[in-house]
Amino acid sequence: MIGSIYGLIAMGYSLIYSASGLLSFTQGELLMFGAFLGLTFYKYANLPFVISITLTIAIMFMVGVFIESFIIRKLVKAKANLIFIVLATIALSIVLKNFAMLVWGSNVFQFPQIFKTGFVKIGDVNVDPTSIMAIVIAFIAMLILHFFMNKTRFGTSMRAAAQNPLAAKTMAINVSRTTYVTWGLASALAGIAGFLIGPVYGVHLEMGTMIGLKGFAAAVIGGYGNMYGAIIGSFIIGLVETFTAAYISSIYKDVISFLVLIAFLILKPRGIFNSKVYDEE
Amino acid sequence: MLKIQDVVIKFGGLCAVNEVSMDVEPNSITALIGPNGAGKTTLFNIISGVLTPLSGDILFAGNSIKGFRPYMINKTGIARTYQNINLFSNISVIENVMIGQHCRRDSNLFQTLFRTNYQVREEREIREKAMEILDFLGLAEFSDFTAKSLSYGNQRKLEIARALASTPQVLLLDEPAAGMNTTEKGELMDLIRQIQDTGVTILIVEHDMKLVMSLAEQVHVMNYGRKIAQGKPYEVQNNKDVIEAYLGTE
Amino acid sequence: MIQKKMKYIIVTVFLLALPLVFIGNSYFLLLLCTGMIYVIAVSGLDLLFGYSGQISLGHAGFFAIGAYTSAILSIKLGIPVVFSMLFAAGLATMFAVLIALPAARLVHHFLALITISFGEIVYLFVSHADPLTNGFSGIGFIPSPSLGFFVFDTNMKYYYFLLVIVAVLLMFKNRIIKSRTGRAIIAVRENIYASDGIGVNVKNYKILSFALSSFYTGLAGALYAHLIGFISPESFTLNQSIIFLTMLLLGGMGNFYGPIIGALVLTLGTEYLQVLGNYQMLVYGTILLLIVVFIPSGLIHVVNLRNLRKILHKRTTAEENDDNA
Repeated sequence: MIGSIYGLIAMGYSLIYSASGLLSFTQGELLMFGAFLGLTFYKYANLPFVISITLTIAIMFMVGVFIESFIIRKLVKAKANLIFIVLATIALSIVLKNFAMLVWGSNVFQFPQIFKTGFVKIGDVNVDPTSIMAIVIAFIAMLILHFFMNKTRFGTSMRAAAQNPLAAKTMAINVSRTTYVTWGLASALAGIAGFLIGPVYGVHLEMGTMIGLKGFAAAVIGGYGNMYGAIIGSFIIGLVETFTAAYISSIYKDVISFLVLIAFLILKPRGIFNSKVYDEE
Repeated sequence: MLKIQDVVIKFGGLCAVNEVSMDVEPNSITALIGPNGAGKTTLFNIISGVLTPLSGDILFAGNSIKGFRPYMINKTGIARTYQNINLFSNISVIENVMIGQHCRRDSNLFQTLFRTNYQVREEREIREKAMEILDFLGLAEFSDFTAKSLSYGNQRKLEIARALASTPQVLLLDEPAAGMNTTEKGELMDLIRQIQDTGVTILIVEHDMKLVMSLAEQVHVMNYGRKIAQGKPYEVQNNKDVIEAYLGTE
Repeated sequence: MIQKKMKYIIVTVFLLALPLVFIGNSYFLLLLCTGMIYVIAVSGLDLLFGYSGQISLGHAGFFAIGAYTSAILSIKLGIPVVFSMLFAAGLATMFAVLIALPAARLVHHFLALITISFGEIVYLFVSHADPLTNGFSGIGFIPSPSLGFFVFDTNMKYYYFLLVIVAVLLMFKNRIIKSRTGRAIIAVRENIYASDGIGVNVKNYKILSFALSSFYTGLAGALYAHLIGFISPESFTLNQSIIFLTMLLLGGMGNFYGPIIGALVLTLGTEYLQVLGNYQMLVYGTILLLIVVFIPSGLIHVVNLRNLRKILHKRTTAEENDDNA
């Protein structure tokens, strides 16, 4: 379950990275934002589930587009050092978090139960239906993204623009549009993740930070910028956490994930699928 | 002075440099020419330690320097300039040259923190020598400007100044005349001869044939990663393979 | 020369006399002391990010190591505070080298990531290693430093204690920057290929700047622990790392005065923005965002008149270039 959430986040990172070579630290806070939006639509506005999630996705998409066109694009145009763009996204995540605090306050909110029954039986194990739904929806989202990227004209042009923006431009691909669509998609993915995780863990301000970092770790482990690697990395991180929590102590599950990340960064920084990480290349 | 022996390097199956050998005589000006993509800069990168060859050897003053990191190679006495300018662009011109002397100086952190006499003297010497070099290259008046504010031609000169600051025995010049106008090229030729007069061996990659032919004592020609000819400038000019390589034989 | 000397004298007298104005206002002195500690920490970060070009989002980790080590050593082992502080800074340096050994080769954003992870691990460790750090309840009654029989137990005394340390550390920083070592560090920031090619051992200098940087920040952490007398994990979160960065960027990095301005302005400024309460981080975040987008070179660049001259200079060179062409 948690693995699929990381997967959604990690795919967002990879999307942005492969599309623009940039790195965004905002995914975690976007997840939190998405969760709050979902909560607002579903609980307070009493909208049906499907409409709530669609609205959340739509708004999150716009948020992503907004971030790209009003902040990132400015910096890229000014030929800012890459690290400044990273810093901008960090700053943005702080602003987002505090903005959410302004709007929703700093309490932990319970997401209302989506299903009537408390659990379903699979074999001998009781499983929370919300978790199953989360996994299913995450899986569907990944599939849709896969088809979007590979089978549609727009997806192809996105990949082309990522590989060689100049060549893409000469092929009359609207590079600026593909870039903001990428950011929009990444943001929407985070929003979905937030919406899915809300009912399970509750909705609060800090919910995104750790997940954001873990998603990042997952993306690194999979090979940064590789969508499929990101998914595999996510399941690795998810498994590591679950096992640590089960057999060692839940206190250390975060420490262990970070250690795994550091180990990967040191020993195999290119991840399972190779990507460029050293600055001397 | 510098001996390259059967050097081979491959990028993804493609042989970028294939069994190239050459001798660079002490205190000579030797040129390396060839069409674009012939492997000249790759060879420079091998000599300066950026790339390690798959096989073959590089001898400097009789000792193998194969597998050395670039900073070690610089310390042994080989300095280089870059085809696409690689200056420390946000700091001053003189600081660029001062950094060039890095490997010839040895003050440590402790001496720096407590400004020992030794460190103070060293610092003064570094600055004086940097100024001398800038003078020699005619850049003295720009010493406090940021490197990036220099004109293109002067940036190329600064590259040479920085390389000279490490008191090299061999100087590798990678297309030093690129982007220069005729006057600047003339000045550059004089400059290179003057550097030779101080006892430095020069290996130069250059596209400007006029410059190469009037400057070089020995010319090596590469094409498709292989060496196809070597000799005196006039010999090379009349070599059948060389003419073919440049005119193309599709 | 004489003018320069006069300037030094005026600044020294001002700094020495400053607390006398605030006699009885112990709170303001505490604030000033905190600001000075941040000056040290941010100067440390400047050595890393501003001069060697490597980012760290885990400096709160070094700050924490400094604070906890010194507190624990002085309380549990009774080591004199001055020594426990130095030892703490040394330990922070050691950790920095361990991190830098592999991390020095990574590109920016991965460096950001590995340093975040480091900071988070330190935070999680001090939060949960109860026997040593007392977990979330924190460590109290941290003794004040002393020299001989003189104990720096009031904010006023601590101010002078800090003043000397800040002066020495800033002097050291300045000396490092204006030396062969410092130039090599700057060269690494400017161009890795060229540094390597001109005899600078890039990896060593990256590690060295990590070590120097964390020594400063670790020592700042120790000074902080003994000033406040109480430490708990909340002071050492990722937010703290971001606050350091905001201070550095606000002031201007790769610059002697930048960290001083950034640290003091933000420490004093946010204190007077107490009305904001929980929204303090919103201010930091917004400031950081605005700086990055609009004035990446920091305040120092805006107020520095010399830049105007530099811009004019540039114009004259440009004209000369036209003549040459």
